[in-house]
Amino acid sequence: MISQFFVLSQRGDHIVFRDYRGEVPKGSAEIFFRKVKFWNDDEAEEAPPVFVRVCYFLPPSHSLFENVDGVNYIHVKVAGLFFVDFGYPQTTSTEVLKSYIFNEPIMVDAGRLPPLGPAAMFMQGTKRMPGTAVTKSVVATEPGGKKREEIFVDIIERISVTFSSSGYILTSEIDGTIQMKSYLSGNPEIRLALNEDLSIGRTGSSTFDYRSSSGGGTVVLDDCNFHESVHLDSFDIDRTLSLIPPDGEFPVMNYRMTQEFKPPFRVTALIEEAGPSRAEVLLKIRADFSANVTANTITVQMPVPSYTMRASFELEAGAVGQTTDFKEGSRRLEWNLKKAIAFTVLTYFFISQLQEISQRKLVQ
Amino acid sequence: MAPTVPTAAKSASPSQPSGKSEVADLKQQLRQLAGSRAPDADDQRRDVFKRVISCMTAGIDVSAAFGEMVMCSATSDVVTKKMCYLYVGAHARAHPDLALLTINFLQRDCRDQDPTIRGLALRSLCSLRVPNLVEYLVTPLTTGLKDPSAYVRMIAAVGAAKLYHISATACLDADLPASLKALMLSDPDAQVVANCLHALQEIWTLEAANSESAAREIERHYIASQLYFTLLNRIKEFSEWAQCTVLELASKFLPSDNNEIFDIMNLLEDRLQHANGAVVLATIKVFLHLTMSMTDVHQQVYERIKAPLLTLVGAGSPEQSYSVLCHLHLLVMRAPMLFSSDYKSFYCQFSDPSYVKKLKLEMLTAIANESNTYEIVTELCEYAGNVDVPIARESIRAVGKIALQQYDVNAIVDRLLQFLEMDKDYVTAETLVLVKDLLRKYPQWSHDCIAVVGNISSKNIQEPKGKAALIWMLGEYSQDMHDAPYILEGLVENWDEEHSPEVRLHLLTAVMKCFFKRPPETQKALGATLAAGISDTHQDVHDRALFYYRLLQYDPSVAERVVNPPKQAVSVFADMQSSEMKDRIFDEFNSLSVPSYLFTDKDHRGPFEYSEDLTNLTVGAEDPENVISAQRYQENDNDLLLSTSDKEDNGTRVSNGSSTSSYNAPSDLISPSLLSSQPPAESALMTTGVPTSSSLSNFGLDDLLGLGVTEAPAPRPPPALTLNSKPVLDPGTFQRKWGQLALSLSQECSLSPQGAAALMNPQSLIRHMQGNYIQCIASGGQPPNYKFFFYAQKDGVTAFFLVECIINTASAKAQLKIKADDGTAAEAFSTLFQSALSKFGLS
Repeated sequence: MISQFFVLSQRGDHIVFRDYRGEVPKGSAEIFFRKVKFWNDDEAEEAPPVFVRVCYFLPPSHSLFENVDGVNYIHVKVAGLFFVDFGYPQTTSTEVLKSYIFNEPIMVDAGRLPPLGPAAMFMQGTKRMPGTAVTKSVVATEPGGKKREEIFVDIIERISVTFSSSGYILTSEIDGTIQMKSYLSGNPEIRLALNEDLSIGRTGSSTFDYRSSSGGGTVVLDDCNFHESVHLDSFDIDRTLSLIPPDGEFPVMNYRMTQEFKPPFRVTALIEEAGPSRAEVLLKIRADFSANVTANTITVQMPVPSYTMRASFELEAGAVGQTTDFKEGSRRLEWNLKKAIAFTVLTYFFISQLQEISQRKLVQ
Repeated sequence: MAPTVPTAAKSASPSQPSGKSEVADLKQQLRQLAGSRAPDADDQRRDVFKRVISCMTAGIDVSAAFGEMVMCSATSDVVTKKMCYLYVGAHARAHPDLALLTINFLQRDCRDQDPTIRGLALRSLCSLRVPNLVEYLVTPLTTGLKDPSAYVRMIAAVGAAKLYHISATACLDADLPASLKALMLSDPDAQVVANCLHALQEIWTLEAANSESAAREIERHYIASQLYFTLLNRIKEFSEWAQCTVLELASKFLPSDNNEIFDIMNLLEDRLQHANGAVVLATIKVFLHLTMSMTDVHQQVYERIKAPLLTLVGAGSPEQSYSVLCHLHLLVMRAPMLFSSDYKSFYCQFSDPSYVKKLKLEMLTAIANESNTYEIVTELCEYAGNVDVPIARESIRAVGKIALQQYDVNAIVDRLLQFLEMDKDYVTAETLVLVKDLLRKYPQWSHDCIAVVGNISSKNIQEPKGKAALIWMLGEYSQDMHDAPYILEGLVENWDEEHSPEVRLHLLTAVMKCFFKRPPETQKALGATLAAGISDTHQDVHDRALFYYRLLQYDPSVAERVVNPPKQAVSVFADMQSSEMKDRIFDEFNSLSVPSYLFTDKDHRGPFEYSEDLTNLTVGAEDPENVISAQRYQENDNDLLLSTSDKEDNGTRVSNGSSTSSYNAPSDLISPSLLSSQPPAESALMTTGVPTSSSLSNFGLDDLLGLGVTEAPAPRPPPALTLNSKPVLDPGTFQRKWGQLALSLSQECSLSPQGAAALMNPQSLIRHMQGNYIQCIASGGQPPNYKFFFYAQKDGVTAFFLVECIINTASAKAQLKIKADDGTAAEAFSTLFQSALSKFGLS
C-alpha cells in the first residue's frame, strides 16, 4: 500500500507530491530528504535505498518519468491521480496511462536523459554511444511519409571478469538482457527465436566447475527470466518466444551465465615504484576477439590512492583517438579509446606524482 | 479577457511562487470565466486551472478560490474536469461546508454517459473524506459496483474501502463487503478483482480488530480454499502489483493436505521466471511458507529459488539488486550450507556501492566452510587493500570471523598475520583485535602469533582498540615475548599522552600480569603504573589502580589469582543477532522489514525512529520497550539506571510509590519469592495516587543493588477477568492466530526458586497452569531453557489469550509474550498469568 508519493528535486523541493490516504504525519517528504542527504556524514557512505512505509520508489527509469525534467510535472501530477487509488496501485503500464493524459508532453532531448531500463546498469556514468547496429532499424521502411514502423532489438551484456595478478581468470559472469523497443502500430504478435541448443540451468551442484566448452558448443544459461508479455508455450520445444510488445522500451528476457568463455579483453598492469614519491604504471590491454568485429568507445578506469597529486600520461606513439584524464574528485585515472581492432595490444603508460606527506608511507 | 500567454507560461514554473496576489488574480479570472460562453472560454479555463494546480504544487494556499473553482466546474472539457477533481480532492477536507457545493455536480457526473467521467466523479466523491457527506456516497457506490464499465467498478471497489474509513457503519449497513466478495469471485476484469481484494482485506482486518464475532466470521472467509484457488488460477491475468497482493494472500493459506501444497507450487512455478522482482519474491514467500512443515521439500525450495534470486541481483537497477540481496542475505543466514557452492556470486565487484559490499561480505563470512574457505579468504585478502577504508576494515573483520568459525585455522592465521606486514595503521589495528580474539579461542596458536606481534612497534598504532589488543597480548604472553616488560615500560612512560581510558585500563592489567610472570624486570614499571593510575582523572582507571594497589598490599598471592587465573579458551563468542529475531524477520519475508532490519540491529537504529509512526517499521520485540524507555528517560534522570539495568521492565507493571518504598525496605529482607507471591491487591491498595517517576527510580536502584525485587505489584486492583475453565483451541488455529495477532505485551518476570527447581519436570508446570485455567498447547527445550506456549480464554466470550513463555531455570526468570484477541484485557491477563506462575512450586 502506498501512503504518499513524491518526487523531490536535488534541493528537496516538491516536484510532485501526492498523499493518498491522509494518514502520514506532515513533513514526511522533508524528513525523508534530510535522511538521504545527510546520511552518515563522517564515513562518506552512500545511503542504501530505503523502502520505508511512507515513501516508495518507483525506479526512476519507469516510462512514467521519461519526460519529467521539471517541465512536464503536470503530466506526472495528473497521471498520479490515476495510477494509485487510495494507496493501491492500479496500473503503471504506459499504454493505459497514455490514454489518461491529454496534454501534449514537452519533449525532452533524449541525449540529456539518463539511460533507461535495465540497460542503465551497463552505462553507469558514461555517455551512451550506440554502435552502428543499434541505430539501424531492423525492419527497414521507406523514410518520410507517415510514421515509421520499426522495432529495435538489442542484446546488452555485462561481462564481469576478475583476473588474478598472474593473469588467470578468477571469476567470470555474464549478465545479459534482450531489450526491445517497439514502434509498431497495432501491436502485432512477434516471435523471437533463440539458439536451439540453448539450455537452461546447470546440472550438478557446483555452479563454477568450468567444463571445456570454449569454441562453440551449447550455450548454457544459469538462469533467465522473462517479461510478463512473453508467452513461453513453445519455448521448451524450439526455443521461440512469442510476445505482443507493449509500447516503449522493455526487457524481453534477462539471463545470467557463468559458463566459461573467452573474455574479449585481457588487461595486465605493471606497477613500479620509481622514487620516493613516484609510481609508474604500465597498463596493457589485449583485444582478443575475431577480426570482423571492432570495439567502440572503450573506457579504462583505474583507481588510485587518495594521496595522488598529479598524473602524467604517455601514450603509445601513433595512437589515434585516445584520451587520458586524471579525475581528482573520484580518484580515478581514465583512458578512453574510440576504437579497438582485434588482436592489437594497446599500451598506456603514466607516471603519477604523489603527495609529499605520503613519502614516508611509501618508503617504510 | 485577462489571462495573457506570457503570465501563464511564467506561472507554470513551480519554483518561483509569487504568493497572495497571484491567488487573488486567479480568483478574479475564474469569476469572469464562470458564466462565460465565449468560444475560447474552455481553453482559457484550462489555462487558469493549470495555474491554480501549479500554485498548489508549489505549496501556495489556494483554498480561497474554492467557491470559484466549483462555479467553473460545469464544463464538458475532460482535462479541466480532471484538474478540478484534483483541486476538490485536495481541499474538501479543510472546508467541509464548501465541499457540500461540489456534491451536486459530482453526483450528476456519476450518471454521465462517458465511463471515464463516471469513474472520476465517483473517485472524487469518495475522496472528499468529509464525514457528514456519507449519505450521498452509498447510492453512487452501489450502482458503481454494478456498472457495465470495468473502470467504474474498479473505482467503486476501492471507494467502498474509503467509505469504510469515513463511516464503518454506513459501509456495513449497505452490505458492501458482501457485494465486493461476490464481485471478487466472479468479475471478468482482473483489476476489479484485485481492487475488491484490496478493499476486502482492509475492511476485514479492521473489522476483525474491532469485534470477536466479526473476527470469527472473517476467519471463515480466509479458511475457504475456494477463495485462494479462484484467485491463483487467474494469476496471470492480474497486473504485477495485483499479483503481489494475491501471492501475499496465498502465503497465509493453510493447506489441508500435501496435495494442495504441490498443486499451488506447480501453479506458481512459472512465476519464479518473472522479470519483476516483487513477483518473484512474493512467490518465494509462498513457497517457503507452504513447505515449512516439510523439511526436505523446504530444502529443495531453497535450491530452486537460488538461481532466480541471483539473476535478479544481476539484472535491474542497483536499488532492486540491493533489496533482493537483503532477502538473499536473510536466506543465506538461515541456511548457509545450501549456498556454500555459490560463493563466487557474492564476490564484491569494484563498482558495487558500499552498502552492497557490506552485505556481500557478511554473506561470504556466513557461507565459508571447509571446502571453500581457502578461496573466500584469498578473495577477502584482496579487499583488505581496498581504497575504500570502511570496506577494507570490514573484510579484515570477515577474515577474522571466518578464522574464528573454522577449526582448521592455520592457513588463515598466516594470512591474518600477513596483514600486519601491510603497514597501514587501520589494517594493523583491525588485525590486532582479531588476533587477540583468535588467541582467546585458540590459545594453541599463541606461538606463531606472538612471534609476529612482538615485532610491531606500539608507536605506529593510533586506534585505541588496536592498541588495547596489543597491550592485552603483551600482558598475557609476556613470558614468551622477550622484551614485553620494556615495551610496557615505554608505554607507561607516555601515560599522560594516552587519551583513551580503555587503553590505560588495559595497560594497568597488562603490567600487573607481566609483574607476576617476570617480577624483577617489571617491578619498577609496576610502581610507576600504579602511581600514574591512582592519580588518573578517569574514575575507572583510578579505581582499578587503587584496587590493584590494595590487593597487592593485602596479599600478592591473592592478587595473582585475581589477575592471572588459569584461563579457559572461549568456545563461542556471543552472537550479535538472536535467532529469534531472524525467525521473526523470516515471517515477514518480502516486506520492508528485511532491508530495514539490517540496520536496525546496528547503530543506525536511531535515525529510523524519527516519528511515532515509523517505529513499527523496525521489527522486533525490543522496539516498544525502547520507545518506552526513551520516554521514561525524559521523565526522570534516575531512569538512566533503569535503562541499563532493568531492560525487561516495561510500562505496564509499575508503581509501588514512595509510600511503598518504606514498605519495600523491610521486605527486602524477606525472600523475594515471598514478596512476589503476595496477592497483588494488597500492595495495590497502598499505591494508589503516587507519582510514577519516583517509584521507578526506586525500582531501578533496587535492581541495581541486586536486591532482587523484580516482581512489581500490579498497577490497579485486580480486574474482573475470569477465564473459561475449559477453553478449546486446536494447534492449527493457535499457530495462525499467533501469526496474525500483534504482540500485546512482552515482559519478564521471575519465578520462585522452588518453582525453578520444580521445573526439572516441565509437566508439573503444565498441570499447575491448568489448575489456573491456562492450557498448554506446546512445550519444549532443554535445561536450563524451557519454552511453553499457553492459551486461555476469557469466560463467556471467544477472546483468546496466547502466551509464549520462555523460562530459564538457572536465573529463575521467565519471559512472557502475550498476544490477545482483545488487546485491552491483555494487561489484566498478564497479571493473572504472572501471579499463577509465581505461585508455582510453592504449594
